[in-house]
Amino acid sequence: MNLIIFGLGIVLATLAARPKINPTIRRTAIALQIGIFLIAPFITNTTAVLFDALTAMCIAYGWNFIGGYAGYAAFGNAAFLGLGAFVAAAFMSRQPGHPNWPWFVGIPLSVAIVAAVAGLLGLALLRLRGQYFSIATMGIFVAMPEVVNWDAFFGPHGVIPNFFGSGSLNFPLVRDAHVLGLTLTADQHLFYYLGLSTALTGLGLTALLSRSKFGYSLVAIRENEEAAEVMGVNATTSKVAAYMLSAALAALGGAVLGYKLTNITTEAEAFFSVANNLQMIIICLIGGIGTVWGPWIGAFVLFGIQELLRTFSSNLNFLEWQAVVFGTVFILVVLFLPRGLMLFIRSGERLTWRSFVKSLLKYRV
Amino acid sequence: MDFVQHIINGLLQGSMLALMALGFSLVWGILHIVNLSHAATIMLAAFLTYFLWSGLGLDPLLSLPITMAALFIFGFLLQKYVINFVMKAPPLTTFLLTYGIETLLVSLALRAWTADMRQSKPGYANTSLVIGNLQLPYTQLAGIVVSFGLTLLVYLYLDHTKAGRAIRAVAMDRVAARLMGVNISHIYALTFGIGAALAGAYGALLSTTNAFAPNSFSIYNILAFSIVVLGGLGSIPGVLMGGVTFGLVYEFAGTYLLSQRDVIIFGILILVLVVKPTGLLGREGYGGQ
Amino acid sequence: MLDKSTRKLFLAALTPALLILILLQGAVVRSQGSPTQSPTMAATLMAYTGPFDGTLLFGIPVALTGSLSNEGNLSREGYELWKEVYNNAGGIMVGGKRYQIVTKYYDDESSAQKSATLAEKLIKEDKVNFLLGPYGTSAVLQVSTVAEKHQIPMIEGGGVAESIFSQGYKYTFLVASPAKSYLLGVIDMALAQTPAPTTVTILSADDPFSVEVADSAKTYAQNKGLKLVYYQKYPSNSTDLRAPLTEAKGKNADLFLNCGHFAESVAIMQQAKELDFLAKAYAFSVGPSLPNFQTTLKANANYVVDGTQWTADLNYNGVDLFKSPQAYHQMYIARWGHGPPYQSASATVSGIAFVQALQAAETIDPHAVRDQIAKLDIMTFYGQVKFDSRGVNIYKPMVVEQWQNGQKVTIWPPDVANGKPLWPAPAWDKR
Repeated sequence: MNLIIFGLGIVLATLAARPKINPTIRRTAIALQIGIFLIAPFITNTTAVLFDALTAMCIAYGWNFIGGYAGYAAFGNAAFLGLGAFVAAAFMSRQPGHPNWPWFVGIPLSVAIVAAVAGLLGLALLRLRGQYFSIATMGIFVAMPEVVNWDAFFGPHGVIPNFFGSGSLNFPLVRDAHVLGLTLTADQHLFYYLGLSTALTGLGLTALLSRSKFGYSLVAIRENEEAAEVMGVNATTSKVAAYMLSAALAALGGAVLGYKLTNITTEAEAFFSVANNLQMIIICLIGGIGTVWGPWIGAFVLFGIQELLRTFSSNLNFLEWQAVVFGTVFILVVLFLPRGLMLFIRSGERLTWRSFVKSLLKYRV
Repeated sequence: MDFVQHIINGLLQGSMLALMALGFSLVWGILHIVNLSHAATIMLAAFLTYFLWSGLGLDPLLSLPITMAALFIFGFLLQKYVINFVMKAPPLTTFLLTYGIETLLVSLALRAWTADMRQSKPGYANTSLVIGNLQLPYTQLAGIVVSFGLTLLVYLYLDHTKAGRAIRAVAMDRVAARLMGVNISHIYALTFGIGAALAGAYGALLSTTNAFAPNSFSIYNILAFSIVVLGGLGSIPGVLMGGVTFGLVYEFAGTYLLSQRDVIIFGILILVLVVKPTGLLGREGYGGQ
Repeated sequence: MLDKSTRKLFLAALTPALLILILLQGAVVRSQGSPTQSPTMAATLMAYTGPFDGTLLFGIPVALTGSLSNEGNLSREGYELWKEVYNNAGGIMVGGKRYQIVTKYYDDESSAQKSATLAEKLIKEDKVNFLLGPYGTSAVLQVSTVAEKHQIPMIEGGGVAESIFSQGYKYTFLVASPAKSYLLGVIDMALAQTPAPTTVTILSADDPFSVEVADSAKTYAQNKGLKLVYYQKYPSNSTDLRAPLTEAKGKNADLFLNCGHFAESVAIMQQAKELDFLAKAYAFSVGPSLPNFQTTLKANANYVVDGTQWTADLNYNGVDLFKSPQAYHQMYIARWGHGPPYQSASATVSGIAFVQALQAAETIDPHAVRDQIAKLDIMTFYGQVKFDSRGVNIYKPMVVEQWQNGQKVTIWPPDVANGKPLWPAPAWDKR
């Protein structure tokens, strides 16, 4: 059933993304999409995979701003993902010394704080270009778990004592609710809808901003930063804003992810892991960087492939080989599909083996 | 007296770090790609050395040439048949490809060899040369000797052999080199192979000084990058200096800010990039030597 | 240079050969690395061969590979010994029906995240009746949430930090003593020696468990008048500790305390020898109690001290089938070929606690069983098993042991000790 939902998602999004399409058809496609996702918990056994796909999509939309539109490939946004989870947990936890605020306070607050942190870091880092910028952001990624664990600031006698619980924090456990004779489990319903709203936030922001002055200035920066400045674009402000947006969406995804997992530690792979860094980039690559529907399609393709593999192999085998599959898919996408599927959707070019080979040979020495 | 011991520790470790960064610097300077599969190459070498030691009883220093040769072939083939496809692509694409290769290799290693920690322990492991109050572990002494030796060899190779000069020519001006009859793709593969061999040497030495598992190597990419940035791209003495500096930083940070060592590396990196991006001794590329 | 075609042939032949060599070695080493299994079983009890009325499935996600694999595999051995001994005695009698114990393991590869995913799998797909604990505070922390969500009781001995028990969960129980008490006995022991130590150094991994042990030890030591000359945290799983050890050497600490895990304990002793760092005693929170500690370090393991949950020298007389620590020790050696460290004992007694609770509940319903676990108060070969309102066994004391001449000796508290502490440790070149 999940596969069907993924498939429908891809098809409908492709329809919506086609440039020369009847506006009515486009609107219907979008409405249908959203409709399907709204009723998903009631038509499928487990929304866990959908949840993962939707939060990943939100984070990818974030990356899309800085890496796709602005052309600055940040490699460390997983740091903001993790930080977002930790800050949200710090505010929401029921453990002694934490305020135990509800999620609609804790999560937005966390997003705002992480965005602010990213803004400060961005002011320093966005002076760098290309690979230098990318590796510098990778440095943030490596350093962030250590900052969270830094005694002098966050330890028992630190500036903000025990803010991050010595690297291990718990969100309050959400129990099932019983409403109108239905049992609404936390996993199947609450978290799923939270996840869906993060994805829609990402989509909405991208749709709004891509056609705005801000969006166009980012594209101008990507194509030729000096020329853009000459034309009156304030490159620094735009870049930093894009970076902050990417961090905000990463934090949003991370906070919701953490909330579902309930217990978070700096060692946990769900947050400060290389796989997360890769995932947001690969989703954008598959779908098409710098586009509105790219991350949406990309997320469903990626998770759809994984779901497909899971049904064919046993569940346990899949867990073990997930990272290997991931790495392979990544390499294949970079080699054969560097401009993503949107290239085909937009330009109307045919998706054939030959076009893959063409991509492969294009940059050979 | 422990201050001097700290310095010794830092110097020993630092010269090995220079070896680690040397291959990375070559590949970056000549192929103009930041090779993120560098850490995975080190990992493969560490495991190969370990298995040669545990399975066949080969002393790691004796198996060093074997490991280097194996990794050279690995690097050569990797460049020729995989990375070659993106040589003309925008830098991000090469970056992503090598990142993907690294992830794939590490996850395969985790499947094949599990995350258990290993270490080669030849007879002289955990024993030290004692000079007065100072302890110089034999495994690290071997490391410094190998590092300097290999660095010198690379320096001479680039200056005094036909292939080495061809490599520098390609770095300076690809078109002109081709016009002079140099086979570009061959040179690229050769250089990448040399870089992998050097990374392999470091991996072999590392397997004796520290316990490791497939996921212990991720810091080396950033560390190599930082060393090259600090020392300056295109300069071999620069790599040595950068390595030793970071070795010392690592050691002194390790006494009071051990859990925040990476934050410190990152801080230094940012500082250098913002203040003097060409590094302490650098010029653009290896052409200007 | 060889000509082109020969070169290509050479390369083409060599590479797959080398790759195969590497992979083969990996496979060989891996199979050598699996825990030793003694084919003979202890035949002291008459084996029950009759029919069972049903089975009880116990699910265990545990670190069989990875940085915690030593401790994880020992836990597994403890669980298996419990299962075999109790099944041979006729299984568990619950409300008149006889149940066979079945265990199901998944390797969480020392990753807390995987542990949680595997626990979910055990509950939802394998439909286990109960959970037995993984090894490691981080793993237990994650799995405890899963247990709580699905209301399946878990008894564990491998995760002892406060953070697990400050969440108000009702379905997780710890049979071992909590993290806070780990090194206190060591400090008491040290202070009772002559010449008494005046300074202490603490080196701690930065995972939640180790930090708790370190913090508690630090406060206790300072309250007892010891001067803390060096306190440093390091990232978990790092094994290059030469820098802080050099510093500790320079500060001339009398008592050296490490809060971490097995891998670092071995690395620290090796690097301490390399750097000629000598303390009056080296004490660890985890590591020295494992047999591999001594087999890896050989003579360098001597004089090392650790705080332990249990040793085979204690004088308990339990209501369980093992009865005494000495008997457990014998049966364990007969089954697994090496002596049991406390990690194994903690695992075994977790199973025993389930048996007692099941018998008292007279039903296999998880909620009823959970209530009975909370009410337990029994004496076992492991010591007293009783849980406070949070689910922690605060009623069992920690003891201190030391490696002396290749043997583990219980040295503290004096009323249960069977040997005197060797203090101070002699210089490295005088051993």
